[in-house]
Parts: sequence; structure tokens; C-alpha cells
Amino acid sequence: MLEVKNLRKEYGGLTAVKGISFNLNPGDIFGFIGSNGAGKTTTIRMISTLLEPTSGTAILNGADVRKDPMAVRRMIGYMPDFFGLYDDVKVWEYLDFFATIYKVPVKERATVIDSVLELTNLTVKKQAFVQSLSRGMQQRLCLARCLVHDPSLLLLDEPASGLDPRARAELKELIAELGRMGKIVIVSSHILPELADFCNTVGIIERGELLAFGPVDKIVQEIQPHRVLVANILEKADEASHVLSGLPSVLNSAYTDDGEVRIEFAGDFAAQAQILTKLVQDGFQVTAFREDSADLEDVFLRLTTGAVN
Amino acid sequence: MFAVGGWLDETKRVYFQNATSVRDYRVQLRGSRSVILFGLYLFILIGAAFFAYDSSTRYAGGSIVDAQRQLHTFAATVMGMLGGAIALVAPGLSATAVVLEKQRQSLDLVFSGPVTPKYYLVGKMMSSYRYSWMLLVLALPIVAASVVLGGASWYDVLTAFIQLSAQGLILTAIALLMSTMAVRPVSAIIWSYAATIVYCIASSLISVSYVFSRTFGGMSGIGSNANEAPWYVTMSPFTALDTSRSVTVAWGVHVPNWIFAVLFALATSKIFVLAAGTQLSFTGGREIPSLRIHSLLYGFLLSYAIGCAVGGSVSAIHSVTRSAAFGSTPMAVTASDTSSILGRAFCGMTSVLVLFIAYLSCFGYDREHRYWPNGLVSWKSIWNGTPAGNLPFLLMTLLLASLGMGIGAGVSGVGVVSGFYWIYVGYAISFWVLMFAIGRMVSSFFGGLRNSRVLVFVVLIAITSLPLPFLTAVGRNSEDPTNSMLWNFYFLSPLLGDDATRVPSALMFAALMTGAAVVLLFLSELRARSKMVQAQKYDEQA
Repeated sequence: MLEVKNLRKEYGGLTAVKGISFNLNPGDIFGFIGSNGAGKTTTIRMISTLLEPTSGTAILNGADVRKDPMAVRRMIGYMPDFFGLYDDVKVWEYLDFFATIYKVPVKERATVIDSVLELTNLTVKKQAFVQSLSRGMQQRLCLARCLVHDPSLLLLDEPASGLDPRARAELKELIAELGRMGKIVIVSSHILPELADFCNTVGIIERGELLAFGPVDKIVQEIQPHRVLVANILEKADEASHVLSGLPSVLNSAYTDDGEVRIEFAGDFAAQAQILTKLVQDGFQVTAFREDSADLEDVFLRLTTGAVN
Repeated sequence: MFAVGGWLDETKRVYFQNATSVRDYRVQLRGSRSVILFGLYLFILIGAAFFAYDSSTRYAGGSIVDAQRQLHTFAATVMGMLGGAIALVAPGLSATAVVLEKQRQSLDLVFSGPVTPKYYLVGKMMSSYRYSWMLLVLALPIVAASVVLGGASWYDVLTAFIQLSAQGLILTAIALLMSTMAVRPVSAIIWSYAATIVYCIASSLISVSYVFSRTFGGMSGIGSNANEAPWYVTMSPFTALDTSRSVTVAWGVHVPNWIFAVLFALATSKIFVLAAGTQLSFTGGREIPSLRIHSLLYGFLLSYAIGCAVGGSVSAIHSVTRSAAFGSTPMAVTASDTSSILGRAFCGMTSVLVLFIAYLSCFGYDREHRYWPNGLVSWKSIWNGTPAGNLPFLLMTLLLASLGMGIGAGVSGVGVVSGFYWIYVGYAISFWVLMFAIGRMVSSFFGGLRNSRVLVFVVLIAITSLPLPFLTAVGRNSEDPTNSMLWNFYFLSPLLGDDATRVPSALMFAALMTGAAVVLLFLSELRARSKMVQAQKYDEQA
């Protein structure tokens, strides 16, 4: 379990992270969302013990990043937003280097390297030099590096940046698989639809403050507590809106000049069907009728202002 | 028991199973690059050896002694070339070891794992140092030629190799520190070679006098034994063969100097690696307390050694002048003079703080590291490297060093040092506290640590050296230029002149500098606090 307690980082006169707190459990895939300079990387670097917090702390399975950084490091796999790969090193040598650093026993090293290569689909590149790999493969090699010591927590900073759609899809599947393996995964990204696909928890950060935290559905529900139906009417959208306002399951109804009626709705599916029936029976020409569900992008845009530190 | 087992495991891991060293080793030996480089090195060495042999033997006379001397010159030349190769290659290899990883951003990957700075730096050091050893091993056939020809014995070659290894280790450690501190590879290389040049010049100046005394002064070394010499003559890479047989007499036993050279190299490289480690660790890391404890210990031992040397010389002069004056007089060195000389030697010794005072006094932020003011003086913070602990650390260093020197002088026959010595100690302490206060004041005006450090260094050099040309010009017509009235206003004047008459002015300047330091420290603390309040306000507004 990861407990982040009031984590704060100041650089001179600038506060990059303003005391953020959250908890994550094994199997959680946490999407960390924020603009550039919002404080995502600083937070991740503090959790990975690379940056000393000004105050507050993070505790991973009982080990405190400030008091026992070595114990924390043994349990984490950190993948920054750059590769930092060595030249003139073969793929297996690169992984062997990190396996040695993480004290993987000599007898198990070869097996561990083979298994992480298989997991990241790089087995055929075992003897290749790292600089000869494509960007997507290098990204997967970095992930393989993070896995050699079977960490409990994976910190992935912008893992999908610069990847083509196929590599991105593969990476997404790999991260989801890691979540299923019971690891805590923290993923920071700008690409919101992608995060919504495989993250079960998200946090939105702006100017070092955590504005929202929790399961994706719950956050969406918080900013849009009621369901919203949208009906496109060919003519007299104003009249249609007025008619719908009188229905018991409709909380609010508004229309636009281009014939769209937005209905805030608190009923079940039967009541939803009745709305459409009512419109048709009253002679309105309905060209479309759908539910407008908010997504992560809406939440992000609603909560943030675009300001940076 | 478990602690010892853990320590052994960790030591084994650091020195024998070091992943950094293994990885670098694989890369170094990959492809034909290393073969070509070593081939080229051998080619140059063989060519130079032939040239040296030809030059050495061409002018040999007919006598066997002359021929023997020429062959020895040849062996010494070959060993000197080897020393030159070590001085050239060792810093060059380690100068880029860490800074390139910084540029490649691979340091974060390594330090997000359970890796201590010591583990990483020792690995880097072994990777670079291995090359120095390869250079020595590859040169063995050429050196063996001089043994076969009779210019040197195997013992000479072995001890010279040990000395060269020790010097290679020191130069590697210095360059590694520079590599850790630098931001760009070019600056790391420049600083490493600058430090190497300073080291080579200083060590060669010391050992060349010994070599000349052996070569041209007949048979004598410094003591009664022809090979007796202070151990530090072995520290020059260029005179390894000539100093290989030198010994130091300790408690009546002739101890080969190469043993001291190895011990000195190990101790020196350890402190350089510790200093490099502090650059890679948090303020709460183990490296800073360790570096500070080692600094205090080394400072004490070094001062003790200097105290012994200066005290020994002074007491020797004392006895000579006494016997010259038949015990009674005007020429005899008094106890006050002795203490005064020792005091000035102590002040001179502390000049090494020029290199460190900016690091101790300044606060601010430097990339991701931040040394933010946490008070003026805190004895609790002395080991953690935060600004509040730096003044106590400075004072503790100076006090321990003064004790070390006093004890060393006492042991060497001067006896208990008088109050004059302590007045000079007080003078030195007040001078460095004033410099510390200037550093704090400068930092309170700047945010960036690097700017503050550079400015402090510049201010320090300026206020100590700029008055000198002016004062020299004013007093140039008098017999003793330092006798001009204006010199009395120069705050380093107590260190000039050759008698105890300067002691009152040392006392006066100590009081003045302490007063100035207290005022500056107080003002800088006020500024630092208001700066922090402003930063907090800015933060709240944001």
C-alpha cells in the first residue's frame, strides 16, 4: 500500500508541490493528470526517493521515503520521461546491470531477464544493442528494467510520449497486465482518453495542488451528478424544451439556437424512453437522441484553469 | 555479529561485484578501440624508450660507473614517461565518468535503485583506475629492459610501480570529484587537468629537491642514511624510480616510503570520493557526516604532521643558535618567537580554506538541491550539511587543527606553545569567520548557490590581494617595504615580518575582524529571514 502524506516541495521561492495526499492499494492503476509544470514529475521523483521532500512523506508498505529510502527503492520501479540508455550495451547486459543493482541472485538473473523480456515482447532483441532499438522498443526495455526486481510500485512518467499508436496500444495492455498482477502503477500522462481506458483511479494536479482524486466514475459523477440527455430537434427546439420541463423526471432543460435540447435527467431507462415518446407524440421532428456522458477530459477542463507554476 | 556480516556483504558487493564496474568493463573492451589505443600507447612508449636509451648511452664515458649511471638515467626516464602517461590518462578517463551520465540522464535510473553513492563512485573509480593499471602492466616489458640492462633492480621497478599506482589513484579520485561537481564534460575535463597540473607541480617541486640532492650532492639524502627522506617525496609521478628506495626513520625503524605513499593515496582518494558522494546524496545522507568526520580527523593529523615538521625545524635552529652564542644570546630564538612562528605557520596552513569557504558559507538553491537558511548557528546541524551547521563545523575544524599543530610542535621538542601561538590561532579563526560572514551576506543577496560561491571566491581573493600592489608601491623606497605605516592597516600584516612584534597587531585585527564578522552575520541573518518571509508571501499569493 502506498500512502502519500502531505507531500510538499519548494525550490527557492517556488512551491512545486503543495502538500498533496492520497492512498493507493495493490492492483490500483493511478492516472496522474496535469499540465506541464503542474507538479506531476516532482511528485513522482519524491516518491521514487530521487528528490528530497521539503515536508511530508510517502510510505510504501511501511517504508518511509525520508527515513528508509533504500527500502523504498527496493520496492519501486521508476521509469522517467527520458530513456537514459547506455551506449554500446546489449539488451541483456543492460538488464543484467540493473538486476545486479537490485541484488537479484546470480543464479536467478538469467531467468529473470528472460521473463521480463518475454513480458515486454523483446525476447528476439536480447542480443541487440540498445541504441539499435526503435523508440517503442526502447520504451519497453525501460519498462523491462523496472520489472527485473518484481517491484510493488511502478512509477511511469509519461510512458506513452512519442510512441506510435501500435506501440501505445501495446504499452497500455502491458500496464493493465501489471495492474492485474497486483502491482500499484502510477502513470502520468497528458493523453486523457488513454488513461481513462486502463486507470481505475485518477488524480488531477494543478500548480502543485491535487484538485481531484478517486475512481474515474466517481470523479466524473462529482462534476456531473445527474445524467444529461441531448435531443436534436429539427424545428421549435424552444417549445420542445418547455414541454420537457414539465415532466417529473426532468430536472432542467435548456436549448440552443441550432436545435439542441440538453435535458438534466434523474429517471430510469423507462422514463428516458418516455421522454423520446413524448417528443415524437407532440409532433417534434427528432433527428437524434443520446446520453451525453462526461469523460476525463471534461473533468480535467472543468477543474483546471491551465495555470502553471 | 549480524552487523559485521552485513558490512562484509556490502563491502564484497561494492568492491568485487560492482555492477557499474562490470558494465563499464564490458563497454571498454568492446570492439577494436581499446586494442588500437593500447597498441598506439605501446608503440609510442617503445619509440620514446629507444630515443631515451640512445640519448642516455651516447655520451657515456668508458668507465663502468659512468655506464651504470647512464643506464639508471635511462630507467628513470622510462619510469618518468610512464608517470607522465598516468598523469595524462588517469584524470582524463574519470573526468567524464559521472558528468556524461548526468548528461545522458542515466543517473536517475541508477539512483532510483538501492544504490549508495559509494557503490556507484567506487564502481566508476575502478573502471577508470583499471586503465592506469593496464598502462603499467603493458609497459612492463619495456621497464624490464632497463632491469636487464642493469639500470634498476626489480625492487626499484616494483616499488616505483606501487608509487605510480598510488598517484594514479589520487589523480583518478580528484578527477572523479570534478566530474561529480561539473555540469558539462568540458568543464569537468578542464578542472580535472588543472587540478592534476597543480598536483604534479607541487609534488615534483618537493621530490625534485630530494632527487637533486642524491644525484649531485654525492650520496646524501636528507638524513644520515643515503635513502632517508620525508615520505612525501614519493608523491611525484615523474620521479618514481629515484624515490623508490627512499625510507623514513620512524622510532628507529627504516620504513619504506612507498608504504606511506599507498596509505596517503588511500586516505586522500577516500576523502575525494566522500566529497563526490555528498554531491550525489540528500542532505540527510550518510556521506555528509562521514565527509565531515574524515575532514576533522585528516585536518587534525595533517596539522599534527605540520606541527612536528615546523616544530622540529624551529627547535633545530634554536639549538644551533644557542650553541653559536654559547647559550647566551642575542641571536637565540626565544620561546615567544617559536610560538609566533608556529602561529604564523598555522595561519598559512589555513589558507587551504580558500578552496572551501565558499562551499561552507553560501546558501541558496542549485538545480534540485537546496541549501536554505535554517538559522545562523546550530551545533545539532553540524553533521547534516545544512547552512546552520557550517559555522560550528568551521570553528571545530580550526580548533582541532590548532590543537593538532600545537601538540605536534610540542612533541617535536618545542615544548608547550605559549600564548603567542594562540593569539595567531585566534587571528586565523577570526579571519575565516569574517570570510564566512561575507559568504552569508553575499548569499542573502543572491538566490543561486553557484553565483554566490563564485562571488565569495572573487571577494576573498580581491580583499586579500588587491591592497598588495598599492602597499608595495608606497613602500618601495624604504629599506623594508613592509615597514611603511600604511602596511599596519593591512589586515594580513600580522603575518608579515619576522619577529614577535606583530603579535599585538594580530590581536587587534582579530578583535576587529570578529566584530565585523558578528555584524555581517547578524545583518545577513536578518536579510535571509526577510527573504524567506517574502518567499512565503509570494507562495501564499500564488
